[in-house]
Amino acid sequence: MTFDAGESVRTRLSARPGYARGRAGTIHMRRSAEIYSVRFRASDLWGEGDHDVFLELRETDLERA
Amino acid sequence: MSGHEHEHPTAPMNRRVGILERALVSRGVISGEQVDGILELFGREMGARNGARYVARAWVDSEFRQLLLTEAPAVLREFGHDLRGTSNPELARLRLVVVENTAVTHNLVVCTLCSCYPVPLLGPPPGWYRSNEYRARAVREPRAVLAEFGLPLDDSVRIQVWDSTADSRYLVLPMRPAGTDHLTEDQLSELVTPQSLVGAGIPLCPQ
Repeated sequence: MTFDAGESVRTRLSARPGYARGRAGTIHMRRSAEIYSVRFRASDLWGEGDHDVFLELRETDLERA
Repeated sequence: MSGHEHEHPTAPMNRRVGILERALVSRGVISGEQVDGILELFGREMGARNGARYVARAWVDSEFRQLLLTEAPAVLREFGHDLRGTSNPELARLRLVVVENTAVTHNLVVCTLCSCYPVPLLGPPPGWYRSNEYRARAVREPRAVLAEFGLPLDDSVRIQVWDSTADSRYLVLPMRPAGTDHLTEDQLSELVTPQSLVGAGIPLCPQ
């Protein structure tokens, strides 16, 4: 499964770090065949905050939202 | 016992490292010269002045800046860690992503899992970057962390935190300070502090 920039995704329970497990995010860009840069809103991670957090996650850690 | 050196696990780190080094050297796994060479590479050749040179070049050369923002690994392969073509094995493995600060966006770099850092361009990470407190708080309350670093950001500035997982390492391209039009590239690079290269500070203002 591949994803496009801007696509809404959800992280699987295999994602690391732990704070990003089972969270909603948006594909920022594809880095390589298996790795995506994913943007998360702080409010979706912590329930508060107005910043964004960017993580690089494997394709197998992501599913369509 | 069989002649092995034994130390309590709470022995000071430098003693434990020394024992490990002697054990590896005596078994022919590594040589003292190799250890000296690596220390020289990390201690002298890899330092934040490398990253500062890249930033200063990006400030004066918009084409270079654009390449750095879009194809940093290729730029590193061409220009080396010192911007003068000197490469090293660590640099060849570095998957660098450069993120640019603007008037409305501030970028901050952290590694919550350990202490990943763009070592060939910045040298070994400083203690605060490795601290549990920074790693825990930077992703959660970056605005408060930056204020404590002496960088209170206006509420209108959006903060983007880059948590270094997988293989990528991040370098922040800070904003060029005002009043620096008359400075040379070398003089500009001296304004670029190590902290500003990961977004935990901003460049110095010219005297």
